[in-house]
Formats: sequence, structure tokens, C-alpha cells
Amino acid sequence: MKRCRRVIGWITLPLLIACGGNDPSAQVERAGSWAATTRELAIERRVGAIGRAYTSDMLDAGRREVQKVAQSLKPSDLPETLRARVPAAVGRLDSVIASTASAVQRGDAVALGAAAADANALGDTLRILRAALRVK
Amino acid sequence: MKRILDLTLGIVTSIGGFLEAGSIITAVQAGAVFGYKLLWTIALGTLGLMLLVEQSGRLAAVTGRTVGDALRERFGINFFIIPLVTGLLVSFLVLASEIGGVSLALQMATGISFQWWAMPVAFAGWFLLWKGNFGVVEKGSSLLGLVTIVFIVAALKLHPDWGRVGAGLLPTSPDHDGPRYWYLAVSIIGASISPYLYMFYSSGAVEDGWGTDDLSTNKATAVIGMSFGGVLSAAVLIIAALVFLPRGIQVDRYEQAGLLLPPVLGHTGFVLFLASLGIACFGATTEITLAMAYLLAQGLGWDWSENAKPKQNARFSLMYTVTILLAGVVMAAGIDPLKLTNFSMMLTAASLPVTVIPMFVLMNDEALVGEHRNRWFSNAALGVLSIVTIVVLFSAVPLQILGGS
Repeated sequence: MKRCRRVIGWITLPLLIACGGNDPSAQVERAGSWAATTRELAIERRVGAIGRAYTSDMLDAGRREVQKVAQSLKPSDLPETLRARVPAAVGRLDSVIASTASAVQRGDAVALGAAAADANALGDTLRILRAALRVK
Repeated sequence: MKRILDLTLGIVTSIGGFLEAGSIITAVQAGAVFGYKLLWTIALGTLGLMLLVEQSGRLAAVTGRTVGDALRERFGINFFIIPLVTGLLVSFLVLASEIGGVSLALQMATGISFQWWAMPVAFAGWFLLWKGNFGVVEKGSSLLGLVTIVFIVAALKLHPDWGRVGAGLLPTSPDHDGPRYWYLAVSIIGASISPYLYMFYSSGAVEDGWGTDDLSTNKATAVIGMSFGGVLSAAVLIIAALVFLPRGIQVDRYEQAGLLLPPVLGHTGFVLFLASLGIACFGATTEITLAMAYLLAQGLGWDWSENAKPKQNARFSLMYTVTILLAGVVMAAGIDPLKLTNFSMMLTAASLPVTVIPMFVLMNDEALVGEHRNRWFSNAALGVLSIVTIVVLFSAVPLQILGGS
């Protein structure tokens, strides 16, 4: 009986961990990865290294991923001091990606440069927030 | 001259099979998160593949039988059903992800969604198999696949720290995100040692009429061809470690890999990445489709040859026609290519014992391979590989759950 319970425990442990895998730190890391991707897309598109269709597709995909992150962040999972900051940073990333996409459509090199700088700054913010979440 | 031409078989299987949708994306994911730390898995996978390719080629050259033939004859149809069904199922998923790889390359080039490209890609693959012969599939892939050398050029241009690259060849435990590390380790092994690769290799050796005179060529192609594939795969990981890791880019979508070469080679890098992805995956698409048709035909005793006209081997031709078009339908349905690729690589790794362990018996059967049976070194290496595959089999499911998200 004891052995049986142990076997069931080993089988269910990964499932339980998987179910609890929606931790805010991982979600913020994911958002940070998309901030870095947006920055890189803006830089490479500005110098004409990557195609317009590819850049637009990637930015659309990035927005969808970031919106998923925003939806998965529950205030109750966040420490009180970060409860406002984390969703705000993720929301800001969504608008930076949108403005990057708009700059790509217009072919506006100056706006792309600004978008890259915004995405870079946001990446730093998300990195700090992630570190803070890990400490908490 | 013939020997030089035979060498292309090994190089083709390394390009069309080693560097494909799975090996590219698992290497990118590993480099982006863990730097050089998972290079050892590419080395391990390359050595394992080298061993299996050499042995399956030797088996074909000495006996005139493919691995599939030998498995059925030695163990009987009741046992053979297991590698047959497992091989077909796993290869089908890998085939779908290869069609996905070509379709994604076309999506990145045109902006038209990969789903729209899946069926035309499947049809193009089928057309090549229907109209062409083994030599066309082989030489076409080998010549066009040379474009993937761009990964080595880019890795060298980035001036990696060779000391740290060397350190990555030694297995180490991760300092963060353990489940993800081991998940990627197993996926890389699955991407490197795909059973379809040595099944295809032994069938190709029979198609080319290899005999005992070709044993030295077999050894050379296994070592040179597979090493070439391993170096290409390692180059992809090194680039990801130097481009993605410092920028904090992790790979949530397959298309993010398109940013791998532009920081190093500019627009040329972007174009060559798309060409490499498309060509490597297309080569793998035709080879996997053929490998599956070979396996089923050999298992059920049908006539088979890619060198014969389709109507001469109707069931064999029907098999590859149905397979490639069904795999196209799977991708056209819109399954996420990254998730499918990761899942199929994990499943490939888990399926390895089914073919690797019986090879141990085949290659030690004096009645089958005579004086060309394995020596102690080959047996020791195959023994270690068998243990690795068993460990992988039992860790695959927990790792898929823990590290696969």
C-alpha cells in the first residue's frame, strides 16, 4: 500500500508541478524575451536586414504572446509592491510593439529607432521586475 | 571515382537529416537559454548516429539487407511490428514538422501563412519522389544543402571563446531551470539520432548495390558525413549562444530563429537562413517519406526501389504518396510547428531503444554478418548508447511535462 502510494506520488508530482507552472516570474521573463525580440526586429528592419512581411508577422505574433502573458498575470499571484508595476510594464510592452508595427508599415526609420530604444528600456524594466519577483 | 560519389550518401544524410527542423530549433533554444552548456548533447548525438550509421551501412554492404529486412528476418514479424509501428508513428510526426519547417521558411519570405504552404510543399516533395530517382533525391539535397555552411561561417565570424566552447562539450548540470535543460538535452539527442536516418542510409546502400568492397567507404561516410552534420548543429547552437542569450531572446515561436543570422551577416544572413531552413527541411521531407515507405515495404515484403518506375512498385509508391500528403494535411490544419517539432523530437528520443538494442543482436550475429560482426569497441559503444536510450525512454514523459512548456 505504501509503495503504491509512493508510485502514485511520483506519477502525479510532475503533473502538479506542470499545473503550477504559470508563475509570474516565468511570465515576466517571457515578456522580457518579447521586448528583446521587438528591439532586435526594429534594429534589423531599420537597416533593411529583414523583410517587412517577416517583421510585421513577428510583431503581430509578439503582441498575441504578450497579451497572453497579460491575461495570465493574476493580481493575487503578485506581491503587493509589484501588483501595479508588473501589469503596467506588460501593457506598455504591448503598446511599444504596436507602435513598432506602425513604424514598420510607414517605413519610418526614425520611429523604428525610437521603438528600439523604448523596447530596450522596457526590457531592462522587465528584467528588474523579474529579479524582484524571484526575491519575493 | 565511385568511392567519392558514394561519400555523398553520407554527406546527404547528414545535411538532409542531421540539420533539419528539429536539430535547428533545439540547438537555437539550447543556445538561447543555456549558452554552450548543451554542446555535449550534440557531440553525444553525433557519436551515436555515427555508430548506428556505420553499423547499418556495414549490415547492408555485407548482407545486402536493410536494417528493416534484417530485423524482420532475425526476430520475426511479431517482434518487427513494434519497431515498424513506432518508427512509422514517430517518423510521421517528424515528417509533418519538416513540412512545417519548409512552410515557415516560405512564410518568413512572403508573409503568407505556413498553413497555405503546407500542401504545395507536400506536393513538391511527392513530385520529386514520383518523377525522380534515388540519385536525384540524394544529389539534389547534397548540392543545395551546402548553403547550410553559412552557420559555420557566421559562428566563426562571431569569434566564440573556444575554451568555453570546449568546456561545453563536457556534460555539466545546469545552474538554473533544470527541467528545461534536461528536456532540451533529450530533444537534441532525439533530433540527432533519428531512426529514419539510419533506416534511410541502409536502404540507400542497398539501392546503390553496396558490397564488402564498400566497407571502407561506409566507415568514411559515417565518420565524415555525420561529423559534418554535428559541426553544423553545434554552429547553430554557438550562434544562438552569442546572439540570443546576451540579448535575452528566448524562443517561443519558430520564426524567432529568423533573427539568428541578420546581426552577423545582415540581409544576406536573413536570406541564407531562410534558404538553409527551407532546403534542409525539404531534403529531410523527401528522405523521411522514402524511409517510411522503405520500412513498410521491407516489413511487409513488398517490392521497393526509388530507382524503379512508380507503377513497378505500386504499393511502395502509394505508401509515400499517402504519407507525404497526410503529413501536409496535418500542417495545413494549423498545428504550431514549434510545439510539434519539440514533441516529435522528444518522442523520437523515447523510441530509440526499439531500434538501437536489436542492432546489438544483429551486429553480433555471426550467421548474419560473419567476420564483419562487431568488435569489442563497437559493442562497448553500442552498449553505452543503449543505456542512454533506456534512460531517455523513462525520462521522456516527465521531462515533456516539466520542461516542455
